[in-house]
Amino acid sequence: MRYTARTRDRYKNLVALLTGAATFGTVAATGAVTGIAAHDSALRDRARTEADAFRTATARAAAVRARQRIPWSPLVTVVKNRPHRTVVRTVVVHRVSRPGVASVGAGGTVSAPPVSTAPVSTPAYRPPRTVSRAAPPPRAPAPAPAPAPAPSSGSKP
Amino acid sequence: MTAARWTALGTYVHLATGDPADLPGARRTAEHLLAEVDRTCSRFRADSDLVRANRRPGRWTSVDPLLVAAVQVAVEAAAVTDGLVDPCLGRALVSLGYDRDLHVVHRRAHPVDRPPPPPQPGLWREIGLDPEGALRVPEGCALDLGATGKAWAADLLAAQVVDRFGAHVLVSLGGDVRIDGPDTPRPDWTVRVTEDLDDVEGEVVAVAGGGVATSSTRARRWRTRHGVAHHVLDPRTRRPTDEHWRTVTATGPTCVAANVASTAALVLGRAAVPWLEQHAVTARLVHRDGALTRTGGWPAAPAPRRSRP
Repeated sequence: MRYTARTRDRYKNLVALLTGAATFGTVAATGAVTGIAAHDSALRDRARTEADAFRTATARAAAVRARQRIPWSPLVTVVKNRPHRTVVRTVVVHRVSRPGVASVGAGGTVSAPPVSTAPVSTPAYRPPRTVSRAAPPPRAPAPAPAPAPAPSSGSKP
Repeated sequence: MTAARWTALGTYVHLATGDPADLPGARRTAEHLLAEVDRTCSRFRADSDLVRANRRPGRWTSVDPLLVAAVQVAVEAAAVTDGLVDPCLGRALVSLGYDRDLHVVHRRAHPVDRPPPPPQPGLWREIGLDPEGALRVPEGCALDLGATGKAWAADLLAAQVVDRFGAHVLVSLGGDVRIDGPDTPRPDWTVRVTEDLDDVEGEVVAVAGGGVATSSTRARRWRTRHGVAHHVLDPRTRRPTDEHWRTVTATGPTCVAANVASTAALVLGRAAVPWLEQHAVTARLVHRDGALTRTGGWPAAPAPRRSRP
């Protein structure tokens, strides 16, 4: 292939085109990266601002609560997150801790334990044996044995 | 009906449910709940919320709201008994040597016994409570929830089982019994009242619901330099009660109410019977010589069985 003025111009144009394209690509990529970073930064700033605002509002509310509940205290109550999962519902705790639960009085009625009414066979008595061809009537299921009484003694360790 | 028994909070736990199918779940619930009560309310765990608060008298301490609820009930117990059941006896118990779990106290070679702190009547009125989770122990005081803590835990556990399973339930925590359940026909619960857990005699009574509590000076005793002490202190002297009654069993609408009555009766001594009758409390009192006294609707002793001729 001969090197002529025409081929020289073609190469020149080709190099200029490639250089332009590369420059454009670099600038575009830089712009895109910068834009993404700026967007990300803006999101982080906004999250930080919101978190700061939440913390400030929480602290202010806690301080207000503390002033309302314990105005005589020089210290501010710190609202503490419970370290473990709660195993009892708050409503249950309130139910057994409400005012009046310690008031002594009538309640918890006690009585003599029920006496078993089941017939007791004795050696002196034998029921008459009857012979019948008919099938015996189905027996009622035996009553469940009475549970052992629960203990109420001094709080032995 | 079926029951399970194990140990927690330094004493025995007896748990029964009306439907046997509910028992395994109820027991798991009980184990978790009692572990949480121990973590927050124990006087013998260095990491408990109560110990942290006791270390900072006169100042507010962030604690678990569960402890605030327990102390709130203890303060109400002091209020309804005019201080006969006092949560501010922690230092007096420590001065008598009851500063560790009783198994540790029993193993000591040399008993501890220091002069008790001077009585400070009404100090419980200065306890600060914030239901959101803060507690202020008054200056000169250490809280001890021994008088109401187990009874409150029994009430709490029974309510939790009813809330979660809708079951009929009986809880006995070291003698503090609570019976709870829906309004459907209730099982026939029976309770054996004794001075000692291992006593097979005692007196068996049927209980329809509510609370039954036994307080005894026969349990939780230890040696001091001046003799044997027990855990029921008279807030007016800060020393163990004089044991006019050695054991009192009382009933109430809740287990806490029953336990407040039985503890107050031990503290009151001779004056207990009129106090119980004035408050319409059904109770069974064992005098130091073993004689029985009953108040309210406590059933008479069963007639002795006659032998057949």
